[in-house]
Amino acid sequence: MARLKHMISTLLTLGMASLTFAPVVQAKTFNIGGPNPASQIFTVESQADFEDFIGRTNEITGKLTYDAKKKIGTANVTVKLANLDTGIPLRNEHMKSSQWLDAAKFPEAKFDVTNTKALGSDKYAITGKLTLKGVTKTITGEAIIKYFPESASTKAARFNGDVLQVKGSVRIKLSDYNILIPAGAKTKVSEIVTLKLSVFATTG
Amino acid sequence: MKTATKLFFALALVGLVGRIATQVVATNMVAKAELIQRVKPAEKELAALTGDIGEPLGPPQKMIITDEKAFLPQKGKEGQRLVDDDYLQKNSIYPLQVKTVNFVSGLVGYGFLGLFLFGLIVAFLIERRTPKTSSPKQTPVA
Repeated sequence: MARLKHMISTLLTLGMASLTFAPVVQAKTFNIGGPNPASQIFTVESQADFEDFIGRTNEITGKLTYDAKKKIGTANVTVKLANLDTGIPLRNEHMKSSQWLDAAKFPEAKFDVTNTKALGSDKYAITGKLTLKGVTKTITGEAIIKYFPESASTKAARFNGDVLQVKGSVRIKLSDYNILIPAGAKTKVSEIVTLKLSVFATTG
Repeated sequence: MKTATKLFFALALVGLVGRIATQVVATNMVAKAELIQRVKPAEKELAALTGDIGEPLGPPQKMIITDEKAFLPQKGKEGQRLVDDDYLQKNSIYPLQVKTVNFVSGLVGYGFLGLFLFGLIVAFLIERRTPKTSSPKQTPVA
């Protein structure tokens, strides 16, 4: 009996020790940004009967966490919508108006990615919440996440610390976010649009 | 033939010529289009790090871009020509899309087709309702 107790006690001690000395793998926190703000891109893609158009901006901020071993991560990203450029100044003004994005009242879109699932070869399924025009809804989409530990290549690209490249996309229905397309614009703007985010983030 | 009939025949002719001209112009424009991918080019060091030429903006699309300086030397996976979106922005170039050409030419073409059919039908109706001038009575030959 005493021998059994001793064995259990030894096993428990070894177990505790293994927990204490196990390499602790933690998710790293990355800040969106880099040497060239222009390389951070947020786009809105509309594909309508009359034409396709892309609205784009570089005004993106936020934090990402990523665990390279577990291949999981989260994201809190904010996109400023005031300078969304569609290539036509008049359309930019329309986009900002109260009928569309109402950028004066709701100047930002917020993405909060809470769950990622690795699909293999840098591809991930993402789930989270999008807040646009004061409406928050659950979104699902896809992302490509590439992790570059600090190296001569990352330094050559003028990054400090480890680098995370994230390209995510989600499709949303505009009416879900109180953006109702006027009858006269239905051939020019699609009801379903694709939102894409391509950012670099660093630990430095 | 009455003047009104002639007028509506002329209208139908305008419709027919317009329809054909629209088709010819649209075909001519579409022939200049290429499958194009707009790209935000990456800096050289960034491209070396990630292996990406740049960030594609939107899906590949048939467009008409006449400024050769807008094109990048590389080609896409599907053989599409890559266009520097920064160059387009800097030079205020808004590329004409084939879908826009087709949409507008379709609308204009249907308009001309409507004009052609309207002119033809009205001219036919006017001609049908007009009493024909009777031929002088012939005296029976004894």
